[in-house]
Amino acid sequence: MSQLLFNGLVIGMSYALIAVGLTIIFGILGIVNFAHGEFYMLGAYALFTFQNMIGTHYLVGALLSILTIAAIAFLIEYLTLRPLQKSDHLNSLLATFALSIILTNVVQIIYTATPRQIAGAFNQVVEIGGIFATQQKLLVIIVSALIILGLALFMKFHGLGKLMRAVSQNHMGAMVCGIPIKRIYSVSFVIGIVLSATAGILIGPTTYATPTMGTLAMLKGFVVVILGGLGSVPGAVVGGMILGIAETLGSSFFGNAWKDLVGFVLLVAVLLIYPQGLFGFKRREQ
Amino acid sequence: MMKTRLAYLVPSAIFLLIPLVVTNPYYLKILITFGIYSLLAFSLNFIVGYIGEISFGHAAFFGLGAYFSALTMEYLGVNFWVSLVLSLVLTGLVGLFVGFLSLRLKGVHFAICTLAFAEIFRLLILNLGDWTRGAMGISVARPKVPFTDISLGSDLLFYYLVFAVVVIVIAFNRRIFATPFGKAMLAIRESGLLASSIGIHITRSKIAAFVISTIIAALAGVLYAPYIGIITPNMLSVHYTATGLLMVILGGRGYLLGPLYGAFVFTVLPEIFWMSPEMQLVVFGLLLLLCILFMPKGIASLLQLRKLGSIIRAKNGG
Repeated sequence: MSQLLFNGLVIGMSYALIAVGLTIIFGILGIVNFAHGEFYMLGAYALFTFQNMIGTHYLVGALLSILTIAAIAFLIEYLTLRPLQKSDHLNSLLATFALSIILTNVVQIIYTATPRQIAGAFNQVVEIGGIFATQQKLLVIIVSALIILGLALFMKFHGLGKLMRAVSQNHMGAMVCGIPIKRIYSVSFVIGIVLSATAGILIGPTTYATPTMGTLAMLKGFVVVILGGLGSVPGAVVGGMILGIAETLGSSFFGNAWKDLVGFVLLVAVLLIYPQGLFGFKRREQ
Repeated sequence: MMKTRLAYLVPSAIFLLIPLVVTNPYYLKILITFGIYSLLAFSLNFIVGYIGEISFGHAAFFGLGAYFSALTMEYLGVNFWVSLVLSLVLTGLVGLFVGFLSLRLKGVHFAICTLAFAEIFRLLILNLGDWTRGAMGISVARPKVPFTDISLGSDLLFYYLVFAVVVIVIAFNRRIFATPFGKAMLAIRESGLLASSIGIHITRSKIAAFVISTIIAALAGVLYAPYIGIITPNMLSVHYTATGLLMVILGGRGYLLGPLYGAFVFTVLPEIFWMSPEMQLVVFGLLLLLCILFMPKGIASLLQLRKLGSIIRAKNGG
């Protein structure tokens, strides 16, 4: 049982990381990023590339991957989302949808559909109080927790974090106060994407990388974000935990094939009964 | 009136005569795919173009249509045409259920909710392998012409079946906007608040449009099954929704013939410039992106066609 809960926690942590990125992008840019899962996938593939082309260590590869993806995210925001900022939000939604199609298929052309194994640096199994875990899984939990904690502190106390919160609370008000709103959008998008890519880098060595892995990650991200409340960071963390644990318990009760169904039924139920989510607040119509 | 007749007659004549010009059997197959995909796009246009919401789970109804048809043929022993009717009714009922629940939501919440429903249906079909054969799929034979022994196995006859359906759907699309229901729908698209102020029940009209849309999607699915020969749970996946959205946005959302242009660009053009399927999707993704950035109203707007609303206005002399 405690082993199950632990596995649920590992998955939940990665969901939380993806979902926090998704929720920041929604809260600040007002965009639901349908390409979010693709950056999770890109994180894993970038790591794979650095490890196999240059032969870097896991940690160095991780750092290089994050920098590369941050640059890609910056370009994407600048070229596609910024021009659409003033148009209908459904257009930005469709733009990210187009991006997700492009990214998946570009990766599929370069790396083919063959699942790729990503080498981790921490493969030893350790035992803590009757729970068996690879070091990589512990790394997932520790690093995710540190990142989320760091982000929370950043948003609370750092000047830029405060500006980000101001924009998410009131776009117009922030603009009137002279906050460089476009720059905040850009920074927030890059931060959100890097979180998703980091999840891919952390989870990558515990599984295989395929070009379509992003779709499921994105769907899970949505479940978590809706569960916790769109735009709420603590909601995303708690939602991630709930989904991760619900899935592992669900798969042990109903069998692995039904695992993914748990999340979607949960999602529909929350949407229909309590659409603002656990930590959400009712958004004004903008 | 003369002009309206011409509007029907000219395209119908083109559809009738195309097989005389295009004799290459491979091109005929592409044309059939074009017809079926345009049906999928027409159905999605009801949601994207007329209701003004984006559904990310529309392929569910395309796939459910195919599965209901195949399963009723398998377990009830009915022939293809009866299964077609049963499938449309059953998918319409599922559409009513999904629409009733999800149309309370708007924008991104609606999009995510439809996506979740689509995944639920896909996983159900995938995991209920005892009835649906799961990932193995079900093979579906080509039907016979009713009351005869003539099989629609030849692509030529199947082509005529598909295009008869396409013409009917286009005519239906045109007609519906002359009815009070169609006018109510247009009023909602232009301004929901104003429409409700004159007593139009918004959610009810939206649900009705949603159900019509799911029935057309099911029609596309039922035709697709015997054409392709085998159906798998993949038919309900995001891939087909993406295809549909690409066609609707590229073609021009809310335009009567928009889906037709979109489907043409999507199915016929890749054959002229041969590319691998992945490369095609990259190109279409880029096209979609460029289209949203620079031409959000799609190809139909380029051709200076009038949106459906303005056709009605012109007819009423307004």
